[in-house]
Amino acid sequence: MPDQPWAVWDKNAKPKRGGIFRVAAEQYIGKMNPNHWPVLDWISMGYMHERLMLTDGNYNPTVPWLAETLSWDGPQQVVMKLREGVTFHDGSAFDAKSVKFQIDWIRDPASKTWDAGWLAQLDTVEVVDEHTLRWKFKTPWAGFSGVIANVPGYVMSAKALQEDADKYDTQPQGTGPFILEEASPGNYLKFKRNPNWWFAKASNNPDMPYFDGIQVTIIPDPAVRLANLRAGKIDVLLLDKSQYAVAKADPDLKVYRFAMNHLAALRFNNTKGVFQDIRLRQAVSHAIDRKGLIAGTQFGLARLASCIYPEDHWCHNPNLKPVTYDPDLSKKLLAEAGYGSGLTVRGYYINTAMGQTIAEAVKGMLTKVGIDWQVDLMAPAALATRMQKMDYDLAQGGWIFIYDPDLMATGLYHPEGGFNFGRSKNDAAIALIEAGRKEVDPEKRRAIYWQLEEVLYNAYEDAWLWWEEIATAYRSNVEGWDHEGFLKYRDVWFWAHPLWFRDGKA
Amino acid sequence: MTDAVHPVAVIAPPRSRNGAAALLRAVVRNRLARVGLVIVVALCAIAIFAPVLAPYSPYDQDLYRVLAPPSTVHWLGTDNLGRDLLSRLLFGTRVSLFVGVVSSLISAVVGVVIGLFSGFKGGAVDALIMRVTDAFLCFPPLIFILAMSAVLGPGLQNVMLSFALFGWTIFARIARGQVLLVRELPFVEAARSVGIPPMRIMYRHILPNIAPPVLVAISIGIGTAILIESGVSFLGLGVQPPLASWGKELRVGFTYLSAAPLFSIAPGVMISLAITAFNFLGDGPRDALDPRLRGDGVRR
Amino acid sequence: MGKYIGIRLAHALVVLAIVVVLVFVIARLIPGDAIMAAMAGSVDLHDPSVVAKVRHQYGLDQPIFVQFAVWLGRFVRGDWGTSIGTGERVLDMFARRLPVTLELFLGATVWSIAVGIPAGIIGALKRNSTLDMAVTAGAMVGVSVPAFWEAIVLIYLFAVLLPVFPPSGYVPLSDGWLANLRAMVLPTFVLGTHSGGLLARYVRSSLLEVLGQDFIRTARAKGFSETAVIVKHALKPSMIPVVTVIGLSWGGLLAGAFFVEVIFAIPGLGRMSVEAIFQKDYPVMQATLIVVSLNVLLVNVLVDILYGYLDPRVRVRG
Repeated sequence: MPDQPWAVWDKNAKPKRGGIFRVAAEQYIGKMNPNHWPVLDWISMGYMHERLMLTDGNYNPTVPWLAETLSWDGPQQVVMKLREGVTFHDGSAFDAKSVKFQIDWIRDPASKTWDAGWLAQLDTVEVVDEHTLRWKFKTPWAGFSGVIANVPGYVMSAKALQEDADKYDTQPQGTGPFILEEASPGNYLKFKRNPNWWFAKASNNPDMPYFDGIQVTIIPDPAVRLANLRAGKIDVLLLDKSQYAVAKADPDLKVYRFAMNHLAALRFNNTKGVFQDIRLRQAVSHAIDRKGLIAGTQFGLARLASCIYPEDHWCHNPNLKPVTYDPDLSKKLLAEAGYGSGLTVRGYYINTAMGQTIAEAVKGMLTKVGIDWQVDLMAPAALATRMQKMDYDLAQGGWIFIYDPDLMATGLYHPEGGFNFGRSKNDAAIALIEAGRKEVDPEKRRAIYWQLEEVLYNAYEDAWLWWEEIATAYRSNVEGWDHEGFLKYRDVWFWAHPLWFRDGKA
Repeated sequence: MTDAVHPVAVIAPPRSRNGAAALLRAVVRNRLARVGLVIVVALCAIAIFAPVLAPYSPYDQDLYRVLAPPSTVHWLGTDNLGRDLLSRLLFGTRVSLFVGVVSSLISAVVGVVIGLFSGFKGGAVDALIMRVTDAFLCFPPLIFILAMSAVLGPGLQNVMLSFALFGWTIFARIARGQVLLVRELPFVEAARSVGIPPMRIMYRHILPNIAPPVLVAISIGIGTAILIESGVSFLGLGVQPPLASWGKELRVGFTYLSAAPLFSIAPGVMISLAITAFNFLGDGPRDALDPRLRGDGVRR
Repeated sequence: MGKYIGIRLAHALVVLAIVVVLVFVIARLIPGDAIMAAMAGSVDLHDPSVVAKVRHQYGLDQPIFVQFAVWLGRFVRGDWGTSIGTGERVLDMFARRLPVTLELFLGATVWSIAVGIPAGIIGALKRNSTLDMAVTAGAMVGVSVPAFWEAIVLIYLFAVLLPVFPPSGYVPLSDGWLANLRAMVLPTFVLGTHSGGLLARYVRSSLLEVLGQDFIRTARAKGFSETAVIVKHALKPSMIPVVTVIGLSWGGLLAGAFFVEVIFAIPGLGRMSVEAIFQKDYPVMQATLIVVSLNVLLVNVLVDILYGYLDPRVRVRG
């Protein structure tokens, strides 16, 4: 711990214990087992559950957390040493046996987990001793660290899973800094401080976490959430982008803006229908005024995207430039492809307020070049059905939480991908994706993904729009946020630097 | 309001006392009803002349000028896609009035037919139909229509259809009530015994008496339909983009309450104005026609 | 009187039967795809055997009459099914959220009585004056302004511009009754506006009718002061419409509660119902529709009976 670059705390700050930290969320968390669908609030999930590895400022899974060390025994085997002295909230011990039980449980079809496929390359995981595991893969698996820094890596109490796995959805037992105290579905979540948090001891910060508890209240409307923040009824808020300017002008609030590893994009159906013709894909992509979209629908809080990996991601290919806004070119391409008198295409978009705005804006842009996009606004579940049936030409695409490059690449562009269903079949891309999974050398792996981006880019495989930014506002009495540190180390900085109230209370 | 319209007067149908003329007189005489009428006429004018009155197309987006405050260029500012809010509200008048009028009229036609049938048939059929009416009326209109949206899907046609599926009940009751009132009267019985067909009786005696309460109910029904359409659109199930409806604008505006409060205020003003106007229009004469509400001390 | 009650109850039973059938039909009309989609997250829709299994699990593969009988039997016994969205038992969801909505209704009724009755009395006493016009117009506006807009305007005024009331949320009584009441002020006021307006109008016309009657003239002739006449003789009989109005506005209260709960983020039955409709969570939808209509039916029957008791003319007219 002492020689980690992110493990520095401001010596002049005097964190005070106490107070209940009040948060507002748009949706209730849903299921509290990370491997069960749906989970709609991953921040709250992180209060209770921690992962084996965390990611760094470039979204790389390089930071050991509950796994102390990882040593590669060739490209198909990893020996993992677990951190000692960690207990779950129900008192059971975090050890090799519990991790093995959990991994086997996730892969068991009877457990009905949605991320079982992420562990497909795993052959076995064996207990070597109380705190050591040996992971064996079927093929070289470069993405292993990325996966254990992601959903399957959230450690859960094997004892609780064994007793009643269904109950775990509402009564989770993790290792995190906060323990679930009370849950009122659809209404609120209450957490209390974990006095035995391992990180407090290991980092020599025994007062962590500083809050006595956290209360998450569900408030569906953004205007009401902001009103609550300004009235002092909540302490932190993920701002709706339209509120950024107003919040920044408020002297009682501290507002921070930062990049997020989400991709907003439109997906084509490239194997069935009109978009098999690359000229039509080009026509659509050039008809979209991305700058306008960002200005109007995101209030400037987004970064123009060139391809799939955000500019601060270690796999991003800096040689690619965002597609230009050229409606005249679009019209020309449409005419060339035989649709000079107009083209009608069908699709869907999510029916949230933001989704509706984006869909309407894009529809307007496409109308201007003669494309009629009959877009239906749908709920997530209904949308999933149409995606599975390939019942669209142009629809919502994108990806959230881009960490390991393989997860998104496979998900969107590989036949086995969980979000492809056959709509994209670019052989060059598929070959590169499979190569990227096996290449263990980081530099060589990065080169493969650069190539992948180039292949997708030249094929106009999808229309990528922007990489996300978000803005958070804290009340001025909330201390401890070091924006520079966060930008440098992100994931691990966030969880290693808990906040506190200036006077020990809200 | 001192018209001595006594129920007994209905017997020998004095067509000059009840019927359209009396209704019109009641409207003109009542101050609030006059106000309502003026507003309704103004709204209809807006709906008809929207393309002329609106400074911009309601569909022209300007993504570099979203949520703009009111200015000389955009009197009410712009919405979240840079469209002129004033133009959208003016065009929204068309949607709301169209939905309101059509829904109410369909309900009226269907309801009156059923009510007349039920009243004439009498007996078990009548009782059953009345119980069915009661059953439908157990659902608050909004909830019923929300549930129907889950079945039929979003969209204006479905809102109108659902409203008609529900609204016929009120008109059925009115029509049936009138039939019951008139059916027992001596001269009607006499007419029937002589062999005059029921249709003719209906036409000469029942319909003229139905007209005022039905017209009043239509007016109030339009107000209700507007309220329901805006409510359903507010929840996201009514009008679909890019159509503008007051309810939908209000919903979108609420999201941006702190950034652009006018976006939330203006559509609501339109909705409230319209509903109030139709209620004034319908309610004023209803007071004059419904003996029980007259409040002038005459025991009935 | 007994015959009157008997007839009313018989009617109510028939209506109930029709309502139950209606609700079942409505819920079953939801496109099957939609139900499947609602469960999509936990099943693989590609696999027809899985789909068949789910359909069997929910009894969707039986003939419609069998489904009806099964559902009705379960419902009456208290098994209202489990929510597709959250997996909770529907009955538990109702039990948890009912007190919240009840508190909302209670508060709304308090508001409507506190504002509506005085307004109606003033209107009647100052009949045809400007004050009366203002009261009547105000009442009409109260009835016409949509609850969801009123809620937004009030939030803006009293929570954004002048932070007097908390802008949302329900504070459970366990966290302090004062905080609970403060959070309820705006929502109950919005909900009470509609019925308050109705009440004002009915009280006004009822008081006017009573004031014009013989026994009032007699009281005046006997030399009672005007105040005594009004307070001692006129007020009580003119309160009869209060009963009617509560009955008439019950349905409106239920519908208004939907919006108020959604906008103010109150975890009551209304918000639950709206979410269920959006997610096509048909067990919750069915239960909601039954509870709501049963509610309205009961209130109507009670009002009818009460009215029959208070006003003999109604009994005769039937």
